Amino acid sequence: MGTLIKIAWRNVRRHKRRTFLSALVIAVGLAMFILMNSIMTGMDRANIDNLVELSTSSIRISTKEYAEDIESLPLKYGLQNVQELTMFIQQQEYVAGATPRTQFLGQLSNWEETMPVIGQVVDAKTDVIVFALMNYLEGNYFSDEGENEIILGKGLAEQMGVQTGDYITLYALTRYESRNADEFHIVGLLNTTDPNINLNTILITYETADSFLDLEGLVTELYVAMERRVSYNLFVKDVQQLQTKLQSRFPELQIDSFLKIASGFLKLTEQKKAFGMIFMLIILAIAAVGIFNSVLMSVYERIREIGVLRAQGMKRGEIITLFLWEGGFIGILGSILGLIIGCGANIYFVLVGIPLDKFSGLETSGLPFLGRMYGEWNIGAIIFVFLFGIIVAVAASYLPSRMASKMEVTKAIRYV
Amino acid sequence: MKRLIIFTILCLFSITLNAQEENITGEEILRKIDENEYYDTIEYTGQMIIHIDDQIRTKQLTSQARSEGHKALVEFTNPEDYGTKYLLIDDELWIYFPIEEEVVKISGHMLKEGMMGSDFSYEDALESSKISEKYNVEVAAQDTIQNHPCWVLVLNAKVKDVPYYTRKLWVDKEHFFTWKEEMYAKSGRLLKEMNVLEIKQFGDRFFPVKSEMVNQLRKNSKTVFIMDDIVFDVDLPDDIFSLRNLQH
Repeated sequence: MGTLIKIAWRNVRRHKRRTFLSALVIAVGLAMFILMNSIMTGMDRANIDNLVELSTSSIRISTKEYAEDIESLPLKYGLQNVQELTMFIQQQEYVAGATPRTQFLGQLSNWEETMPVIGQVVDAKTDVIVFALMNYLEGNYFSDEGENEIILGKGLAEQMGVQTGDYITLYALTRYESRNADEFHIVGLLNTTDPNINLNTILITYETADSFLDLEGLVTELYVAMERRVSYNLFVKDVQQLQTKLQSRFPELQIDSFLKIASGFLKLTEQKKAFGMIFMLIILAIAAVGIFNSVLMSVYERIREIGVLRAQGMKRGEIITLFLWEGGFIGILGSILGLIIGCGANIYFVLVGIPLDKFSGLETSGLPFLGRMYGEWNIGAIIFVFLFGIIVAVAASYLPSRMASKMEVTKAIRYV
Repeated sequence: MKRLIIFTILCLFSITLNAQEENITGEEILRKIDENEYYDTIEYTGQMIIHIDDQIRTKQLTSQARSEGHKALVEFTNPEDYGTKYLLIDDELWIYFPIEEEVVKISGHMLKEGMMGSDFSYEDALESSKISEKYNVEVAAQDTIQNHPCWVLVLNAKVKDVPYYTRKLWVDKEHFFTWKEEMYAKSGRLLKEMNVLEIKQFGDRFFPVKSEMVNQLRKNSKTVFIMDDIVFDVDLPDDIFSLRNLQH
């Protein structure tokens, strides 16, 4: 066996050009797979990161009554002891911050027309720790001046024909379900990757809402941000651990993780992942055809050589084993080359990312169309594709070498 | 001399009447409005003409109502909404949708929404005569609408759970019905304005039969409500105002 391996390795080295071309075919297929896998995984992660950073946070806490009636965003089920709850949360591991929010339904009016909106009452100081809205803010954030200030989704502002610096009328029901409407100064616009925020959302502060909505300090939701982990699975584990801890400490409260809040979105992501897998399989199939073709040709080119080996007394099984080793070596070389090319290019995608600013038409798709999208390392997929390259190369060597070894020696020697 | 005495007596009588009129309180005016508009039962056909920008939609309806228990049944008869019914009992409201054959109870913030897309909210329609319990009433001024002298009442909320924090009513001095009402937000902004466009006399009663509600948050948005074939104090069996009847 050792002799066969040595001969196989020598053959691989002797036919440098052929070996290189076969290995290159494998390498290109593998590199494409690694990159596509990285981009698709990165896109999924970016979507989830966006969701968590802009809308759901990691964990949302409310009363059970509020959770049951959350569709109508009622202003009657407030959290008690918000400070105590916040202190407890901030002492936990991997917690980045916590912030209160009170949502309400309202209408924006420019005295020409009205648009329904979802209002978010925010704590100007802590909200920016939990939600990444500042990254998408055009204009200013809330000041300490105490004037009625409002931040609108950019799409909403465009529909209402207003911009930063203008005034707009917000209409809503107070905590006591009395109608109220007042003029607000637009200090900033949110142009995020979430179309719901861009088209439906307005933000005001608790200081303003205490008077406008008669809130009297009512907090209906508390949002918790966990530190981002490179591994998504580790992040999910952190979130679930904190959720369990909070639930046992505060059994009277409703503790929901982003996995539940955005379950519909995450299911959709899983479905997209299934489609992505089909796409990846097509890439692998194309790569496999290339590898087969390349190895097949290299074996066919050497049928005369096989005849000579047979004439020298080499057995059929030995010939097949020899070519399988050659295929294996080519597979290993190609896979290593593929890993170098794929991972090398992926370093760029992971560290630098792909600029998406220039992409148009994605504004309402929910995909991150602003900033950059980054690739993700998927070690499992890299190991899989490395082995795939070797196995396909070995498999591709088997059939032609078996066929050639069965040929009569005289025919094989004269084979053109 | 005799003439002078008669003139003096007439002047004094007139001054006394005016003084009495001037001393009338807001609560008394509200009570007189209730007296004028009060009925045991009422039956009418009606139209709601909804104006939004250049679009006009007309809803036709029939209605029966009983003051006792604050009950009303409204059925829409225009082709788009044919068979849709509203049942109001006290301050609860149910809607029957004929296509789905389903009854839905309207509650909470939904009551603040426009009724059938109009500028009248369910709550505007639901409001019973408990208005003086929730508002401080003040006679703020006197005014004239369509050459009719009016009291101008200002109602300021005593409690927080009122549909509008401030309301302004123009009440006919002679017949005690409301010519005009302005509804204000807590911030003082005008939200809606109701104008009576036509009044009819039924015996001693002066009743608004055509009115409009103007939404001040939208330009060119108003709803005109017209009542026809009004019959007061008809005999209405009580089972008309039941959930069972709503579904038939």
